[in-house]
Amino acid sequence: MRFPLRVKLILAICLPLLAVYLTVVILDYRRSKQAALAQMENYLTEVTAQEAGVLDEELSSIAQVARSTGQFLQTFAHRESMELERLARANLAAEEKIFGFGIALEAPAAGGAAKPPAPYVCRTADGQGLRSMDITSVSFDYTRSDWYLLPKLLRHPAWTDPYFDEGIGRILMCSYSVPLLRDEEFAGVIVADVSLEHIRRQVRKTHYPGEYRVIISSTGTFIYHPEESFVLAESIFSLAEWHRLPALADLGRVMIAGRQGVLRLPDYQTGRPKWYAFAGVPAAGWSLAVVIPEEEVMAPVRGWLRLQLYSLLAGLGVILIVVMLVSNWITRPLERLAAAVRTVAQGDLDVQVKGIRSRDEIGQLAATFNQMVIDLKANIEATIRETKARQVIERELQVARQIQTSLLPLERPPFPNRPEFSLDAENEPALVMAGDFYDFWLLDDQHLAVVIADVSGKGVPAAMFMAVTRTTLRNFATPSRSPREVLDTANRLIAADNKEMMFVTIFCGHYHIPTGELVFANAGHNPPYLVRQNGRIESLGPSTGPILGVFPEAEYEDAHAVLKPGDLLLLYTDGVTEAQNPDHQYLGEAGLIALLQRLRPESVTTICRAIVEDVNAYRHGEGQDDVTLVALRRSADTIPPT
Amino acid sequence: MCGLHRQRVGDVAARGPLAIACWGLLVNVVVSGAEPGRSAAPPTRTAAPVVLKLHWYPQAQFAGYLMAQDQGFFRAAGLGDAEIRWSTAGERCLDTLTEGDSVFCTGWLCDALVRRGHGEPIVHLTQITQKSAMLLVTRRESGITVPADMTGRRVGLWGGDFDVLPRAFFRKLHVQPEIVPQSNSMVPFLRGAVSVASAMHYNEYHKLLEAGLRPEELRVFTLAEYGLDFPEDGLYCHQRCWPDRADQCAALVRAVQQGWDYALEHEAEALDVVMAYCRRAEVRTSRSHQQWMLRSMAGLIRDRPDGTPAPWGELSESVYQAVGRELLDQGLLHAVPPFAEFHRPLQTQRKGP
Repeated sequence: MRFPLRVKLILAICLPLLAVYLTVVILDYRRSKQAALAQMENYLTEVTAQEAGVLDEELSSIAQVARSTGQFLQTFAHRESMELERLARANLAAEEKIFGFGIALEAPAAGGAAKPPAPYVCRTADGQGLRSMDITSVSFDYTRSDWYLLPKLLRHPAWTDPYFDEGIGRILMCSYSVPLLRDEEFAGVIVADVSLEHIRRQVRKTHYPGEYRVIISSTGTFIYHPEESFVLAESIFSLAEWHRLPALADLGRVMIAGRQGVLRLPDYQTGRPKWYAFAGVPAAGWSLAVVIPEEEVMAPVRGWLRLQLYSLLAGLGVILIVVMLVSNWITRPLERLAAAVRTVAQGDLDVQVKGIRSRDEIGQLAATFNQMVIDLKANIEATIRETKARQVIERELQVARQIQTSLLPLERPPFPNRPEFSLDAENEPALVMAGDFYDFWLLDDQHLAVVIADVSGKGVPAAMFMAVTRTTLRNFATPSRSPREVLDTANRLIAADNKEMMFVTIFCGHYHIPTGELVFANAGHNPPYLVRQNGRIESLGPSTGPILGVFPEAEYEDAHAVLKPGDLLLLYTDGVTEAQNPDHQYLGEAGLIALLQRLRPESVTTICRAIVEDVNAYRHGEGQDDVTLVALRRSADTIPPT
Repeated sequence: MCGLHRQRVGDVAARGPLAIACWGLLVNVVVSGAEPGRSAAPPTRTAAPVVLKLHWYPQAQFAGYLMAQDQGFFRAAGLGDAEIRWSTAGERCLDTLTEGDSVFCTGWLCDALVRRGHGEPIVHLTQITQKSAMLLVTRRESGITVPADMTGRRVGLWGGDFDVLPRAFFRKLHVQPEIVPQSNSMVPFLRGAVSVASAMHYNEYHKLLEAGLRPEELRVFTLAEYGLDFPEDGLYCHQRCWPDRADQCAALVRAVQQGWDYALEHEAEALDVVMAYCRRAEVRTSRSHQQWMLRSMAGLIRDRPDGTPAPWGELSESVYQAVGRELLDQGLLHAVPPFAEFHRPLQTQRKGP
């Protein structure tokens, strides 16, 4: 009972279900994750290429204006500041993406007093108007600026990195500058500026939460970053250095090489994976990247997973409830049965299991149990009744036994005032009531009657038959009648009314005390032994007539023997010689003779007692048959009658 | 469009109303300092705040001065609320001494020596860096392996006071490159517009690394290794401050030393302060760059060229003479001014009248 049935049921049903469901969910989760990532990659690749393309067109259109102006000025060598400024204004009016436009002519190599003109026009802060100035008037040497140096040294148009314009623009900007070449000689620079604010406005809205864009220049410097303070201050490489992320620097190198691709990298701050899709903006050598935190891509998948797990839990809850109900439905009758069994075990046989109406195995079990209790109760009541009845019989038998015992001579030692002989007897019935009996009494002063008998059967009928036989013998035995006459008479009387056809074997002897002469008749009884003083043992056989009580016409003979002084006469029943040991071997007459040889010198009382004990020992205490003994010894010092 | 390629936003504070007020005080100080009648008066703790003009934009190259200001070392030295001013692009910082624009000024030794040789009344107070940090950098793929390979190649040099050293390098090694102006960004070099670019180890060299180049992709010519180990950043004043305001000079030098000691020992705090100054001056820079710069400066300040530890602020006469000889050889000087005229050891001045 380590685990109740209910728990076993729950485990057996829920655990396999859980395993199967979890496997399905995990497999599905993996598939969904891959699908979400693939979808995100497609989106990233597409959107990055598209936005990089748009930015490229934007920058190209600005560059185109500067290049056209360069071609124009190459053909028409305007040198008047006013004309150049008008040209710049016209360009600004024509292309609203341009923030500022300037034309700076190179000083002649030969040198001259007057600085060459360098008009610059840009939009006002509100974007409504235009402002102009001649940059030759500023304090620093603009010919050392990148926008001037790059086209001059490279001899081809170039975009600068982003920078802060300290002149009249005073904003963050990038410049596209075109070298003005006249007769293969560098003659100045045409420059068109785009504000980073304009580029910021081009950056599209995001699709995924947490998604953002980054634009870096050809040196990796941030031109656009959602963290505004990064613009111009940080480069992708400075972040990589500060956060010790060589992989981020590698990404930067791939990006400034103008390549396109998608990469998964840990975030430089949180370390959580992010997806970087990048594409070059060839017009300016920039690179645009769209960045998406993986957790945001996975958010719907995780949401789905959460939903699955919740529904799994809910499903498990329902199953649990059902299983508990079912297990209750199964175990409650069992518990009731168990309780009923406990009640029965405590002796209450009036218990009945009620309320189990199902016709299944449990219903059958309950019905069987109920019937069993009823039968058990009936059986026990019957047993009690029988026990009571037997107790009554036993009590009666006890009384009968006492009566039977009282029929035997009680006095011990018998005839204490007759020194001429010693006599003793033993009767140990196999059942409460004995079928054997012995008797002795003085017929007169000189004659002693000795009887031993064995009634057929045992118990009460035998006892009754014994009582009848004894009474008959006592009534007819007189000194004048020989044992033959006594047996003849008793036989006729008993046989006349013996409907049950019971019989008895009887040895009846008249012992003449003064002479030791024994007249006896034997009705089918075991022949007694005469143990002579000198140790010789003689059998007083054979029988002198048939068994008594069956044949009314039976006739018996008298026989004679003489007990010399010291001789011992032993009468016995077949309970002695037919005693069996556990190997079913009889003690036999040889066994009895051996006993007598050994016990011969003892007193009659000791001989009787010892034979009974030896017989009991021989048959290991199992009462098989009545054991009855009578021993008579003629005293050795008997004075012969005068 | 008009600005130099400086990653800087906005202007220095010098043009605000506060700056104008300071300007007035400064003029007052300069004028009073020059007036013979007042020269006998000992410098007082309540003297007008000094102006310290630094030769570039806010960056970790000046962390010591900024920490002296931030930690109140100037005030503790009796200099009041010293005003730190920055230089603008194209401005020659040491010019401001003779123009009476500033009381104290930082600048390079060779530049100051050349000026002194040409009679400008500038006086050296202390030598901040003990070594030259100047490099000429080329890409390994350029094929330039020795300085001689630079002949005929395009080399970018800064203007202002910063071309003395590389020009000395070329003269010394008989290299005849095509010298072109260099902007304050490394973009022309990165785009291949020049083969060789000027770079300070603490600044431009690291900017190249922050533009994605790996050290192994670059070949670096350290000018110091060619006998041109000119100590660079030093602190100067106009000789008219002498000897009337010698105590103030000594106080300033002590405060600056304190500031540098503090900055080098408290890197993170110093970087915080530097970044705050940068933000205020709208200079856009990364903390990683400023960290590199501060660490590079630590080496320049603490070690002699031979690697032995240098006493703070040291300028030995032998180094001075070596630099002078080199400038003489290069024809940048006609005669080396006497060391005692150029450098005023502050310890002796304290014992002065």
